[in-house]
Amino acid sequence: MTNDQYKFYVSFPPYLQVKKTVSSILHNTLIALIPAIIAAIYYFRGGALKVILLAVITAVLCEAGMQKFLKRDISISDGHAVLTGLLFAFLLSPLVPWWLVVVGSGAGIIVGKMMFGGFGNNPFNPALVGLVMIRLSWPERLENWKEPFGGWVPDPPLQVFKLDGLDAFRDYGYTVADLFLGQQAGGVGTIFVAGLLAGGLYLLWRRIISWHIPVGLLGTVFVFSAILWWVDKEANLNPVFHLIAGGTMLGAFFLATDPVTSPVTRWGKLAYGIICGALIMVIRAWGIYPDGVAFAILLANASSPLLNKFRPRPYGKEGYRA
Amino acid sequence: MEIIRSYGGLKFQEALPSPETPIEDLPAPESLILPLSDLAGLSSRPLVQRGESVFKGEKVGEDLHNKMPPIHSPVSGRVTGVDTYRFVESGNVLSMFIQSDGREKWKTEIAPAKSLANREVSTLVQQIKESGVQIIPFESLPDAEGKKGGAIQVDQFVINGIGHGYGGSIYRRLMLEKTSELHDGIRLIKKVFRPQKIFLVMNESHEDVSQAIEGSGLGEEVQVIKLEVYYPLGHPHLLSKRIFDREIPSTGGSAVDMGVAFVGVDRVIQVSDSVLLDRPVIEQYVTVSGEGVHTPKNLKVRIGTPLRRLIEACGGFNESPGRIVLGNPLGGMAQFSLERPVLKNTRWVWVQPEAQVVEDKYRPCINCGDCVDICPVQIMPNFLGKFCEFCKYEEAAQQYDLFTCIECGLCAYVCPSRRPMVHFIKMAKWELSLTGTENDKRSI
Repeated sequence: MTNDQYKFYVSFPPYLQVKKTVSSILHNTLIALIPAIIAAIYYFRGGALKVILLAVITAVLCEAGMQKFLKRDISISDGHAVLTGLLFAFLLSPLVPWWLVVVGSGAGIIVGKMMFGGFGNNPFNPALVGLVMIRLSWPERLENWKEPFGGWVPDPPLQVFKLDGLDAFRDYGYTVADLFLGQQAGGVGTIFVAGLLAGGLYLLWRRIISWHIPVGLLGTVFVFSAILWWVDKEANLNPVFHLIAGGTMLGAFFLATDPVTSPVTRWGKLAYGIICGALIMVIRAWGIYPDGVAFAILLANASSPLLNKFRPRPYGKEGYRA
Repeated sequence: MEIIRSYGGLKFQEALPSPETPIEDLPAPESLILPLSDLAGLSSRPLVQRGESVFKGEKVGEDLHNKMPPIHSPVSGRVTGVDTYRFVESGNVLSMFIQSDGREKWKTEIAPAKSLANREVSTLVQQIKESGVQIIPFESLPDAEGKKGGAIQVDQFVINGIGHGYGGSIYRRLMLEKTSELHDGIRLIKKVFRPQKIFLVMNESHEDVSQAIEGSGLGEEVQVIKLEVYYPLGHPHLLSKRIFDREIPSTGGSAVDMGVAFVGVDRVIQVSDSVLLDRPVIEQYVTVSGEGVHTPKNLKVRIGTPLRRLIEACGGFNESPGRIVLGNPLGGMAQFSLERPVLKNTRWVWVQPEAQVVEDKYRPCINCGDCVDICPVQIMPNFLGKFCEFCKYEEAAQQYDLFTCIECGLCAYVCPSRRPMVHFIKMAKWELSLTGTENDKRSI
């Protein structure tokens, strides 16, 4: 055995690593969204397919173009551009004009993500940045909703409740089972609550996300709305409807749990989930928007750096206060 | 590799397989390399020059500042050079190259083993000092007159029989095979340091070890603590928390300043060998394992032996080797050359086959928080890594507890972005050590 016979890899530790990678996290999240995609296409046919494809293709092209322009490695294969485009499309009505989808998806990637330095450095969820940008710029264009299969109420349940009041909501005769299985108007990916819940449980099972954010968010929405309902049953929705209507479930499992924009400690994540839930309910109860999930999570994103300041006492450090 | 998470550490469901074969004696090599440094900042001056002949066990290196244990020649032979040798840990180090003459001639004839009873504490201390074994920091040893050097009184000894917490079985084999030497070493420690209590930490799942310990009557001398082992429980910081529920303060100071000494099983055996038999430390117990090596073995090797000899003794490489790592796979150091000598702190040589080497670029942190969850000292490796990556070392020390890090490597192990956080942290510590004393930086 001579010395020149072998060449060794010299690198810094660690020499063993977990199997989980950034790509596997994102790919698993995409897998978890498959039921919702199928349901969207099943319920809305070509409208949903058009919105989803436009958003995803725009997001991927914008990311690749920006990375080329910035002379960085093209990293579209990790799936984050696809995921961003998909989540953005999920919040849109199937009747949104095509150019609005392109503008929103591109703005989400370029302004929301690449201008901050790419995946990992964005302070706000890029899909929500894109959505909020078009929501504030062309509000009337986003308000054309479509009912699944026709013959149903052409407005999302929360909008009916917000604009027409609880009596109108009751007149339409929504049932929990209908809403749970997607028989409601709304964003193409948000309506099939059962599929989103299944996807979220899959992510929890694969340990892609921890339970803290979904539990904090859904628990706060439930408790908050239950208190409102208990105070005045004639003016407020049943708390169960708040959990399954609008974007609550998508927000709890897919938007709020975005690792980049959420805090890092366990208790920080729980607090962040609670902030998200409280903001959702504040907007729904007293704000002008019927469904505040996008705005609430975007606002809560801004609180992550603060929540990261609260951390456990480091070993051996006396007199430490969080 | 499937893992079970436990609080602040990792429990490998299947620890890296370790050889359970008896310790084999590796014959002395023809030539060996002795660095005149501990590769961590201390250094010695050579006592012999090029061309001089040395006996086995002759003192060849000594620290003028009395901080590093003396260095002894592991073979008899001739000094072929005193020159620099490149170590991957710390660059070029002044080292002594010795060619063996194969006669294995000791400097003085070995006297028969002496009993402890009729020896003075001061002569025992002198012998521990001269033998080159490090059981507590060398400068903290009492001086030759038997007075305590400095103000250090060691009240508790913790003898570590679990190593890092996974893999590397050499401590287990030593406790099984060298139980009587361990016993002698513990008696010696009792006589010299007069501690209030001695603890022996062992893995609760090792039935054979606990039987051997019970059979030897060691249980009367020490308090045996059986722990459910996870990585990095063997680190003094975590053992201190676990056994005494006391934390070693991060504002400078070490366990010895608190009156607790953490000693490996191999050191206790070496101290009994060296004092009772009058022979200095010239050998080290090493596990060679990993899937890249043909037959993993436990070996007793001369200090200074090139790794090539260890691999040859284990039947060579199994397949094309990828990395050869000294220390554990999460916090050790990959070597570039098979000529690299075994040192006093080498306990585990782990060979990774080339097929298992993953070459991956690291990516930006995605804030997932896995490293924060796993960190055994509850610091935030994600922020530390970001600060250190962009050379913000002062901020890392001030705001994110850089010096609390025990460099276990779990953060880098769990990182989905493959960020080498431990490396960044080590680099930051090294850079800060260049700009001032460590204590200055710690007290920021």
